[in-house]
Amino acid sequence: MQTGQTRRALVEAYGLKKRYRMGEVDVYALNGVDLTLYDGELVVVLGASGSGKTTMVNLIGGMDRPSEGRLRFADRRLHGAGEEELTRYRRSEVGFVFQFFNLMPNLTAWENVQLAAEVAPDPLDVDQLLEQVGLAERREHFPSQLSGGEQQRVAIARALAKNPRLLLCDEPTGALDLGTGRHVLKLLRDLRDRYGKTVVIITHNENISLMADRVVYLKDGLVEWVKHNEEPLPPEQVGW
Amino acid sequence: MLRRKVLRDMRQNKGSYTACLLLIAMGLTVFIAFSIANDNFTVAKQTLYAQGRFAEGFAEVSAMPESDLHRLRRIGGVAQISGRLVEDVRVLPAETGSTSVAGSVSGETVSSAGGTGGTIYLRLVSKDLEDLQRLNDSTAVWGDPMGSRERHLWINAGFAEEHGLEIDDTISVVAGGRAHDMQIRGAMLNPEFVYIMREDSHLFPDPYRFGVATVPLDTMWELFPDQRGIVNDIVFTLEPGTEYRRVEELLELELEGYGLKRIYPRDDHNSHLLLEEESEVLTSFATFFPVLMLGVAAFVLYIVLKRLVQQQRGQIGILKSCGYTRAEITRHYLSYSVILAVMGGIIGSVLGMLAANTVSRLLFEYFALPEVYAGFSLRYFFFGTALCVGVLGVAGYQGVKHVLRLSPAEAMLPPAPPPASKTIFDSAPWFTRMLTTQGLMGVRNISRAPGRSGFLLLGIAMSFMLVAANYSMMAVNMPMFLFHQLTELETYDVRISLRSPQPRRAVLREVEALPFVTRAEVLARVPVTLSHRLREEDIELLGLPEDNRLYNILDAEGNRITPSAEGLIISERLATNLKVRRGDTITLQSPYLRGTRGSDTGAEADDKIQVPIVAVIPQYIGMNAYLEVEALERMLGQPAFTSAVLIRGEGEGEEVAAMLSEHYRDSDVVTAVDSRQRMIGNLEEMWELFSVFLNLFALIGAVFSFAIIHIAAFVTLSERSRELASMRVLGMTPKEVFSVIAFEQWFLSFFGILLGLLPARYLVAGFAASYTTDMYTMPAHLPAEAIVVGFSATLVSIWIAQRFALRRVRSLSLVEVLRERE
Repeated sequence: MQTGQTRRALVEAYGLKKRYRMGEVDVYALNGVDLTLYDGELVVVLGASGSGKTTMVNLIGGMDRPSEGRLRFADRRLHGAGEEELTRYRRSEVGFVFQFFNLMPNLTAWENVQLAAEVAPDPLDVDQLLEQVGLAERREHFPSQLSGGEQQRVAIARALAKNPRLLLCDEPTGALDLGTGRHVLKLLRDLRDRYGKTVVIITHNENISLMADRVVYLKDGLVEWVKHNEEPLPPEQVGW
Repeated sequence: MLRRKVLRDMRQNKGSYTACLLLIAMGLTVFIAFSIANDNFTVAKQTLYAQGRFAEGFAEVSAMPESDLHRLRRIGGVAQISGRLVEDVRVLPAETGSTSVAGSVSGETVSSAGGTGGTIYLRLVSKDLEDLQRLNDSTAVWGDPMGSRERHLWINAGFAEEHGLEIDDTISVVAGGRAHDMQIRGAMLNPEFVYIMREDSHLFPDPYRFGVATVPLDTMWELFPDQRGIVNDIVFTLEPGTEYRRVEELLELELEGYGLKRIYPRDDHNSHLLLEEESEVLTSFATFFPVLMLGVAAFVLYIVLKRLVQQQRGQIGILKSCGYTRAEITRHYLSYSVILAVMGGIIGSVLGMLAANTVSRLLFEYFALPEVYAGFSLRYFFFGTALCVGVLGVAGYQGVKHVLRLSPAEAMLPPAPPPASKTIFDSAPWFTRMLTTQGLMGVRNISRAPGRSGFLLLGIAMSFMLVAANYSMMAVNMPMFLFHQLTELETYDVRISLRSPQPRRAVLREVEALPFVTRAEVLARVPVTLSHRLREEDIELLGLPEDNRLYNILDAEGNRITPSAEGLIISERLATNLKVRRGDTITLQSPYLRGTRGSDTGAEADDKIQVPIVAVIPQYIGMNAYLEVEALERMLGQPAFTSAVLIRGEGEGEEVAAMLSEHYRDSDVVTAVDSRQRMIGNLEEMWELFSVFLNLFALIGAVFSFAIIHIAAFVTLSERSRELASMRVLGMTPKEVFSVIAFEQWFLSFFGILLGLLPARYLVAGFAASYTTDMYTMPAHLPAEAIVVGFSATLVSIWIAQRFALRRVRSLSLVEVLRERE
């Protein structure tokens, strides 16, 4: 973890708003978020349902465009970026991990990871990644032949295969039991340590925030508070 | 409450349901329109046949005294018999007709170059006014009833309409070597002339240039004084339960002495035959398209409902937990099918009934039939709707049954990932190694969704088949069938037909003496019966000079064959019907074969000789045999004669025809002067009309291909939107994501087209067979260019359909799709 003076801002958001049209009224999912994410930190985003967590991560990940505000990733300007620019951004800079894994059902574990590596300009070694997530032996298995935890580990390996600077995880343990969930969290922390990636985890589970370097709490589409953990807990000690 | 849910669900997914509804309605429209039109067509035909007492047998003789008819009435099995005098005459154009009056066939000259030009012919058919039960009687459309012995005639309604003729109008005809004015007393329809053609070998009716007129028998004898007391055409009906063949044999014996040319049953009557074929076409049209549309609609509904219950898995769990039975939930989901089928049934029935009247009117007009309607019937509506309910019900049930089996608790859980394992493609690593990961996904999807892949494969095969087969017919077979005879075989400018055989040398001398004639050749036409073992065919044997240049005989490769004096050259169709081939010997009988006893032609009796076959050739129009003309004369024991003269002249063919027509204006011997150029022109006119229908088929093929690919892509997109969105999230461009679907489709298309090759060949053969009769032989080639066109059209349809799918991939909302529970 870098110190406050030397850490580099990776994502910078100012006055970020996202508006949806629901029937005849406008609903703001985000209502002016100011947030900076730094290189190599592990951030946990907390908030109740509808607080705007997923919307914020979708905007940061280039899956959606903000209605208002400014959003930058390193030197890239994401607000106002076109579809092609956002695709290039997702291809090279961001890895996603979802609650329900979203693996390709007709590709094996290895092929799912390779799928991501194929499109990236500077991919990591697929075999090595599967080794690191503990699935070297299961590389030829299809998603339907893997447990939930294994599927999520494949999803993490796939997200990392592009060698992105930012890893966005939306409820990565939401569909997993305690043991498997802790295992996945440990993996995320280890990968951050090993590769120096910025990892953002969205969760309902406040206990998970204890392993974060920083915790961001969202409420009604705004950042309610940000907390630094001086001594983050190891994932193995995180309660559920 | 569930009913309200059905309506709201349908509104939410209105695109897919509307597509289903349109397909069902279109299918039923075609089914009902063509079924009712066929009923009307059949009833109209039956009415005309019954009113006119349409004969069951027909015989043509050279000449028979009318007073001898009573002998034929005594033949066992003959119920009724009538004798007529039938003669073709030329109608004189108004400006040259000596006594024409206003309202006559006006302003048309044989040399006019417009679409309505050319010589006009009338077939005069006598009518015995004293015979009140006469066969093949006409039904009046307008005018006076037939009762006068004046120079009156009743013309067919189509001819009257084409020429704007009305009662009391007069036309001039050349009969017995003189022009006669005949007064029109009415227009009629006749069961014998529903499909009116001057010669059986003509392909389309031409109501402008050829008509039929009924004339009192006494008037006919006045017009043709040399035929007074004579009839040359006999029609008869049979006693119930009598076998036609038995009567035919007896009649043959009786009529032999009168120069029997041809005797045949109603089933071989050209007009009747074409009506029967039309009825078959209507029936197949009323079956093929509705089945196709209903099949596609059923598949779309199956996919839509399958998707719906997958999406509503949780709702089904809730319904079950609330105590709804499986039967109630099944009924609820099947109600989607029933609503669509009933709505489609009502829309299709209303449109079908409206369209039926239009189709019927077109049929009544094209075929000279009375406007008789079968009456309103709801049976097609009930049958069509019941069929739709049945088919869509089964499709719907297949789509929903899997989810309905789940327990409530299971239904509330997210579904397990779709099962996957190695596919057949994975057992060929050399193949999978060549693929990108997207390509690998594409080929695996093929074997994991065998139903849909099969649908796509068959759809592509079918659309390739439709396009390639239609192109073959349109661009190759039909033109070859229509124009080969008049462009490759017949190369004269003008053909002069003679009423009866004339001395060959005298005719040639006379024609060659005309200043504008550069070459003249004879054509002898002899009615013969060829038989081999138990098979027998009545045909026309053509005698051609050895150095013929104006009527070619060509083999399958298009090489000229010289008319042989050694034996017969016969058409392929004839060879097939008689089951003979080159080198075989067949038996020939002919009314002209008299006085051959003791000749050196191998005669075994007065009217039977054995003749070898020296060649078999393709022939598309007619079914003939050919022999060198002098050998023909020797064989028959007849002096040199000819039935027609083929002429090449100086200048344009139509000009030569006009000069000849004028020259023989009052000739009693010349019955027709036909310009080949004009005949080709007429065919081209009809071909243009006809090709509209064939183009429609080709268009349907292309649209069908587009629709199949579009539906398949739609289904793939809706089922795999989550996968595709995940790929987009990984940073793949829409094109890269779409390449999975595209690869799958191109891969299947390649095999689909290969699969379509054989059916295309069969379809061409089927098309050809449907047009082929003893008179017409439609070629059935599927040339390489048709395969290239079918291939290209299918690929273009796929490419266009894929552009729509790509648009959908581009507009895929990543956030929305990934937020949904799988």
